[in-house]
Amino acid sequence: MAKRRWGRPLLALAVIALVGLAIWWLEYRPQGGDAVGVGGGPYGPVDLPPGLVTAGTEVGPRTGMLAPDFVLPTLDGRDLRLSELRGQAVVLNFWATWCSPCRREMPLLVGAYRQFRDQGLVVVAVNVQEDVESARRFAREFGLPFPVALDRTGDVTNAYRLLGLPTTFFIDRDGVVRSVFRGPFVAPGQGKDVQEAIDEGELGRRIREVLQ
Amino acid sequence: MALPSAKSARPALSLTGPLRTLWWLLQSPRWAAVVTGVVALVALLGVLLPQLPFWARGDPAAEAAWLAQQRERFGPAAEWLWRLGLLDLFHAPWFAVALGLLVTSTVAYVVGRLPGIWAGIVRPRLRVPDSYFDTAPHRLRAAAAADVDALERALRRSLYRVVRFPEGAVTYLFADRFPWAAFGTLLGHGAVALFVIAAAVGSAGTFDTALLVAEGQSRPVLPTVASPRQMLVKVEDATGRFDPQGTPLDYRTQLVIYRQGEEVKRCQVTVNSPCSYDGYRFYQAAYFGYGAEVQVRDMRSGDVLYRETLALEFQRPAPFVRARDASGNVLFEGTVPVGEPLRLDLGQGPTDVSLAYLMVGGHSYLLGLWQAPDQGPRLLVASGDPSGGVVIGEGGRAAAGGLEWELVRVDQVPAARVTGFPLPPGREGDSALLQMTDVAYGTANASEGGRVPVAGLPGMPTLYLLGVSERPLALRPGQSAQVGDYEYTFVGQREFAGIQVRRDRSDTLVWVATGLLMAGLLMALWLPRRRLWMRIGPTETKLAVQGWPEVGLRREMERLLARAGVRADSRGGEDA
Repeated sequence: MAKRRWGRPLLALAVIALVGLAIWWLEYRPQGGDAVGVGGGPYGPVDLPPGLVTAGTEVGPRTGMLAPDFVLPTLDGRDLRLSELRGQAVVLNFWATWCSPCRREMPLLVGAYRQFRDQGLVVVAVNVQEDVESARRFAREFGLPFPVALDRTGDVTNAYRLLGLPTTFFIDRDGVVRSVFRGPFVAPGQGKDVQEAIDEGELGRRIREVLQ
Repeated sequence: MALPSAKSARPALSLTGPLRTLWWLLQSPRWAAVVTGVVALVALLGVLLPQLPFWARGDPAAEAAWLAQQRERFGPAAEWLWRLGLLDLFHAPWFAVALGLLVTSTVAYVVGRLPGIWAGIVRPRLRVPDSYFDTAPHRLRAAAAADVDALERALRRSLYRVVRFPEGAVTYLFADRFPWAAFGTLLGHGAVALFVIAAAVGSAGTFDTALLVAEGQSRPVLPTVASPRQMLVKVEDATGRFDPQGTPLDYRTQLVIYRQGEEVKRCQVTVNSPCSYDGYRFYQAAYFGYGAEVQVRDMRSGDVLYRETLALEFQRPAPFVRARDASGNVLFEGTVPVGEPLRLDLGQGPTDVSLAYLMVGGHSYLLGLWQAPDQGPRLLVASGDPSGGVVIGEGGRAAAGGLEWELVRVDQVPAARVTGFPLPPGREGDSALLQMTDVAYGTANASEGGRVPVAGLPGMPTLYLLGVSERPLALRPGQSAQVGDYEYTFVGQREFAGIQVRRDRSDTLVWVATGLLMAGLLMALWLPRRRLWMRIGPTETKLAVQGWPEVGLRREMERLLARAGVRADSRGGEDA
């Protein structure tokens, strides 16, 4: 009797479950090709080594905080860990080849790197979620002399809570974010050359601030 | 103690009653009508009120920015609309509950009737009381005994299943045809439920965006900066073919789709043949053939300052002129791009004149083009002071500076004003005017015509950069020119592909639901279901029939009896 009484409702539930499963299978199941070779694994955001955490200073992507650490592969096949650059001033620039303002400001970063590297400046250009070949071609075309890190999964980009590209973080020798610049630096060409654009613009001012 | 007796006196708590009531309610057509009405009303609200866009969902910053826009539009009411879920209606929990109730109700209806229909198919009522032959709504009688064997053969030929029960002198017979067609209505109900689900899924997850991508470049699909689901679309080759009249024949693009830096799909798309990946469809939506890749290098450092593929999306007039010497030899023939209009007084009042310098035979000439009211285009040619020049109309000729000049026609050349273009240090301004001549619209070697008149002579294009120096720079593909410390290079003409990216999670469901609905309608309306009982006695034959459609049912049964050698009485049961 109990079986007969509950048979139909249970059948209805089974039908609903079956339909739901079919919908999931047709529309939402993960498809092949999502696997990523370089992403995940050892790459992405990592905890700062305990010895580099300053007491009373939070870790985060805001001014006054310790820059979140990460490990990413670079175009030249090495692994780059941000915390290993401690002791040097770091300009951390997030960019992509499809981002026209990023392309426009890149010559400034190249010029700034050449101008300030002897004073201990490192520029790290983090390419956001692009393929190696596109990033490599761009680096070759623009002659990028600094390391280009590949954030294929976007995890590091998300850890730095970006709202748009380009975004540049200025990190001092103690690993503290001194300022964040959202958007492109004014590029040369408006009556100024690269050197003038760096010296008279925001980029030069902020670099000098982290080099102090 | 009184506890045991109190316990025994209390009626046993049974969940069966409420659950049975719920089951009955879910199967009720009235309940289904109420739920359908509520869902329809809410869906209408969802159409009338703006809904949180797909790309902002899950991104607190984007969500807050969108909500701020709604506050400007609705004022304080925006807060209440948001809290009630009316601004993200199709994702509100209560909407999901309403849809769930509707789907559950439909499924309950189907499931509730399924066993009865199933039993009717596999265990049909083979015998009916004799009295039924006199009371059935659709019945026939013949005053003679039918030939049972002939009757059975006729029924089987008409795809009936036949069961015979001989009882003495009387033979009872049961036959039915297409009994499973009764499932048709249930399939229809199932289709309705699936349509509801598809609508909910579609409203929740539809995504649509258009990307204009140059050859060799890529664009992100989603508007978020970084996302595990982000995809990049790279155009490896864009092709546009046109007939001599400029009518498009074919647009196609070789695409590569990347996710998290990995190539996940490589395909060719056309307007009607999209490429699919992860539920997204990539269509060719447009083609644009006037692109120019330009590079600027600082020669002091060797660094590239600028490298972009620019869409020359505007058209500017440019005179096509011919210059001959005194012997009639053509010294120059071609399109001359002119600069932005300047207000000049050429003796006929202030006029907006576009100027260009042209070197012919080692001499510099000033050309000025303007549109004279009611007279068409006019070209000024001067070898020195503009006031001493000659003015030529379209098709006209005049002598200036020792040459005979002819304004053959006025072309429209693709152009773009590019702001932020690197100008040599010391040069004022922040933009350049780029124009391209001698360029055919459409992929090289595949196009003989153009959507706009072909500017100049078909062949290798020339890119003119106006504004970077005193005189325009004219560059062929691969050519460079140095101005001050900067080197300008026209890397080459590039084509653009307009790619439409769409995701509609509901499309498969809609197809399945449509299939179910079609199958259900065919089964229910096309296949004539029949169930008949017969009593064949020594002197008479009686027949009772149920079936759908009922139209022509009586005539069909009369023909059946005729094949068994009997003729139905004129009186009998009702017929449809």
